[in-house]
Amino acid sequence: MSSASPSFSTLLMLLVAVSLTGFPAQTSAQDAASVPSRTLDEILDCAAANAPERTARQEFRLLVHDRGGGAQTLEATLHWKLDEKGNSKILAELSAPPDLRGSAVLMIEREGGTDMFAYLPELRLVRRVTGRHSEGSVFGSDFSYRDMEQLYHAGSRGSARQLADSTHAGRPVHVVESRAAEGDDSAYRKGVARIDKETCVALESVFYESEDEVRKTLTADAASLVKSGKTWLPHHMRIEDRKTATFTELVVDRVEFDVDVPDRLFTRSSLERRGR
Amino acid sequence: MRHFWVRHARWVVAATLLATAFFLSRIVDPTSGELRLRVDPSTDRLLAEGDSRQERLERVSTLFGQRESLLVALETDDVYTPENLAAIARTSRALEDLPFVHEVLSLDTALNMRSFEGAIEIEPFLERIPETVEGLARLRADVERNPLYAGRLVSNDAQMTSIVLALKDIPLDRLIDESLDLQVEQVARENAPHMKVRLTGAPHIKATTSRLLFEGLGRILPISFVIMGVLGALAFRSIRGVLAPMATVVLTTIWTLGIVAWRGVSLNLVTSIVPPLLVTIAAAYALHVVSEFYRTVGAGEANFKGVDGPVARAIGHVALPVALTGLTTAAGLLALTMSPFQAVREFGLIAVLGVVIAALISLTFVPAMLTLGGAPERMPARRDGEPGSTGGLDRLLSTLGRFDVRYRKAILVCGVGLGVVAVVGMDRITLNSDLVSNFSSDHPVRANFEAINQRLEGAIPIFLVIESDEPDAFVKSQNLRAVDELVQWVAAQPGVGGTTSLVDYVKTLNRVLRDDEDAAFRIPDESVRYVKQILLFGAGEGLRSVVDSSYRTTNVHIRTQAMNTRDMAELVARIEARLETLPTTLRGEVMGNMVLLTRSLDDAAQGQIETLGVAFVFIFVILFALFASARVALFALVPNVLPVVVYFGTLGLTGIPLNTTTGLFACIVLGIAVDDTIHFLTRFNREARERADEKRGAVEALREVGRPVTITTIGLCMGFAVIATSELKNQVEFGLLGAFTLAIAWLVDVTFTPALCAGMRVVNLWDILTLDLGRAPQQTVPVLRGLNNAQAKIAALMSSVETFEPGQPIYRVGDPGDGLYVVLDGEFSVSIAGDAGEKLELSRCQRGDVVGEVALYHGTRTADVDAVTPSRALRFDSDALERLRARYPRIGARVLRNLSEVLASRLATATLRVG
Repeated sequence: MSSASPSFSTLLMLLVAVSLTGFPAQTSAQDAASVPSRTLDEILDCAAANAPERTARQEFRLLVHDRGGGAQTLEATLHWKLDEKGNSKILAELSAPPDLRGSAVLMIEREGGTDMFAYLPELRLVRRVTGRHSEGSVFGSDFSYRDMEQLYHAGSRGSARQLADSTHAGRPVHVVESRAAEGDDSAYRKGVARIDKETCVALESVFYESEDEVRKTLTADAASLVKSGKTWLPHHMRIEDRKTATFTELVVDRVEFDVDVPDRLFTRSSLERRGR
Repeated sequence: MRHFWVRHARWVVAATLLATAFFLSRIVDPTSGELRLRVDPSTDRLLAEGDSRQERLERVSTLFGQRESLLVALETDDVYTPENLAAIARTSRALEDLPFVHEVLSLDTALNMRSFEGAIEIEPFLERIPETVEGLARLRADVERNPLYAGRLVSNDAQMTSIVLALKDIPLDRLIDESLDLQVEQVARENAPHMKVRLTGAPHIKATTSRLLFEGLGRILPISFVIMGVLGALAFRSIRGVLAPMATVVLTTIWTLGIVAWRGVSLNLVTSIVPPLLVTIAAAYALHVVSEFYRTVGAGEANFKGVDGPVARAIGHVALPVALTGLTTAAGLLALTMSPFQAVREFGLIAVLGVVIAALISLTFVPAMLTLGGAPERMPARRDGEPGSTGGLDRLLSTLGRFDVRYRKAILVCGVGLGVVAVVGMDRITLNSDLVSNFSSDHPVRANFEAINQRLEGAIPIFLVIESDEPDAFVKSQNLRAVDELVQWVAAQPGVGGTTSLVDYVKTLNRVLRDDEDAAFRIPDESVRYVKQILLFGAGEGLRSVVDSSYRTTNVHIRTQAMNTRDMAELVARIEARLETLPTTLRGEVMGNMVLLTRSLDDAAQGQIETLGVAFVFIFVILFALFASARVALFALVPNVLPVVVYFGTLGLTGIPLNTTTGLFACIVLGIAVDDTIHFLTRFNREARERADEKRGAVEALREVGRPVTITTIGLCMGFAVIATSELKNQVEFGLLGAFTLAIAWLVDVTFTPALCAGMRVVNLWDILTLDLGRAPQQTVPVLRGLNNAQAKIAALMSSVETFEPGQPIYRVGDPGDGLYVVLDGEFSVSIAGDAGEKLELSRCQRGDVVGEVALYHGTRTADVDAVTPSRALRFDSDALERLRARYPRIGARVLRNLSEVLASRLATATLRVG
């Protein structure tokens, strides 16, 4: 299987990205009720405006829950950068727990695919990973590498359609559905996002494996929404994988958009230097 | 009350049919025709409730994401050809698209991790189907080199590949109703037409078992109905002789299953045995009623529908034994309701319900039906000169009865000897429930299972869960080595096809991260940090299935080849013994549905023997209440214990194992065997009393009761023989053992029981309740003074109650005498002959007076005694007094003391006269 065509998956992840990064505040909470229903393009513009333009740096914690009620907490820093060709680069590095500190994953998008490199500090070696790595789990969490790869990558709007407005957790939301194009080998065939009318944050994104079978649900805790500059940012999110019956909480500790993130960070040699 | 069914026969029949229509509507929805009776083929109800092992298994299954799975094996000459690999990929994807499939593990989906040109490649084996010889060889090498899949995804001879389907959480009854397992097989055949498709897995085995069980029911029930009808026809040669047992069987089945469906209870693997069981029991009850009807009725009888007509009389005779047999059978089955296993409890409850319904219908609907049929115009020949006989059977039974009485001691000794041999045999009983070996060796389920078992490392999964209280226990190399040694030991055990453990992941990741060097396929010597980091790199669902997030619990998947609980129990015991040698910081437990089921089935089988003890107690209490004597109750229990002991002895001596099915049968045997014994004892009691002779009573009772007992036993045996036509081995054993044991029970009842009874007098509750001794016998009959009402009746019943017409001589001077008479009603005249031969009346005896006491001790009558009016008297002979003393010592002592007082008073009076 080849990687997903951008039309569906990028659109889908655009909605996820909105939920992770927030968006420029266009309205105040007070007049939310009076916000007129937007068109589909307006909703997607609103969401797109939410994403960083070139770079992002985020510190977060992943609380990875197993089926037995146990949980492992991972602390990580993520750097993201978009190059001139519109391809994204991601470097995710664990800072805790101590035994895993320094473990890192580098993903570099290129024409026709993504190069992935893994670094394990105890091995002091960088390994290039090829093949079906994108479906793998990021640090054992419920996020896949593909989820992460496309986290910040807003591309084509594909086959999105607007559904009737609704409410989520008592808040008025727009509902947008996206479908995978024929031949698209994305793990998801359909996605439905409930985008908060007030903040344009996707409070819930449901990813379907087939027409009526939910694979993952990503929810943002509305109470954790914090306005930072022009954007609203959910600080507490939860992704639930129905297939594995596990879930991961993501707690954002710090986020910066369009700050200086050097290109050398996203090279194999940079990773290799960590071992020296 | 017995007249009600005769006088209101039409209403009884109408009400019964109305109720039947109602219960039928509970079974089948009359509007949609949909079956409302549900079937639960799961084995959950065979597990003991509140079992902590089950709770632990559920916790572990949740933690490691275990699911029910089906295994499709594709067999061909060589898996590694482009055509076959394409078919495997096509089949895997088609199966993955089935809506009830959760996940597929196959060559097409399993991710292979290998070092390739300096990179780590993670791809399904069939990401690109190789076209060249080299590519195919490389693929084979990749599979065979991967410890997670070698031998598991493709057999070592490369002729079979597996596609494992983890199923979504769908109830088993849906899987069966919609034949989902067969859909899987069909999809596989369509996509791999040139390969042999084999299907196995617990859901398929359970579903097939269930299908066979209920298909068997659909075949067995109608055949049983027909057998009962044919038996009725042969026995009675009349339409009503056919219709009565068949109607009873049909109505009992409909009512019982109707109530079961109405209450929302599902039939399960154990309770599905109830309907054929009820067929045989209900038919037996009806046959007893019809037999008694034909014994009582005369051809063209005028007063047919009268309150004293033959139907009413037949019911009067048969109501007590049928009601009692219903009670005792129910008691035997009721003991099963104390089982900790829901399926066994439900079996007991449904069977009790059915037995009560069978007795009810036999005593209400059948008499009503017989009444509506009118007086028979002709009767089949009965005994010589009597109507209703088939001749041969009656003569045979009479001969047998005389044989029993003549060789009484020898028969009793043989019976005891048989019991002793059986007890010795019981010591050899083994526990074992068939799982796959329940199917015949040529059945596709077994053939497929065995082929897959042999080539793909076992098809029955179990788990070995190892825990530690230490944090990060299973990323420490010393613990990993301990697990590695243990897993290697387990893998080498007979009955184990293969294993998958955390160690396989650690070794594989270590090798892949070190450029696929073979030397790196080992547990790393490096630090905990290193192991944690390589596991982080390989994190995914596969790893989650072998270790928890805190690395304190690890799960070893063991693929076993056990085909029955004995093999499984032995394997588990060996592994448990090996677990004792683990480091003290580690503790292990063998788990899995099959492990739990093995333990539960064996526990259930053993538990049923314990409930058998309870059943004996229940039945003893009933017999004690019935015969008002612990000793008689114990005697009555002996003919019932004997078939049960023989049954268990047969299990031991023939090597047939004790399991849930064979264990269950003990209570059934007891319940049914008691029926025949009670019928015999009740009839024997009447016959012995009427003839004042236990030996003749035993012969007559056998001749009268032996006929329906023999007919019903033939019916029961044929019913069980039909069950033996099943495709399931345990059903075959159940049927054959059932027929054999009931035949033994019959043999005991026509030989041992009459022999036992020929030497005893019994009194039953019915006699006590119905015997009329007149007003206040304790005050008006000196011999009974000081006894309460029941004791007085017992004393009277241990003697003989004899009636005399006016003028009838009771005895004459010089007659040998061995008994005294106590006048209850009427008047006796005591006289001697004068010198001229004239009659000299000495006295008149009335209620309470005693005559003939001299001969009791002296031996010769000294006067003539005649009845003056219609009279009734108790006759005590020396045997009766001895029986009374032995069986009811307190009553006997009182009666003897009263007799002494009577004699003393008589002596004093005589002395005064002489003086």
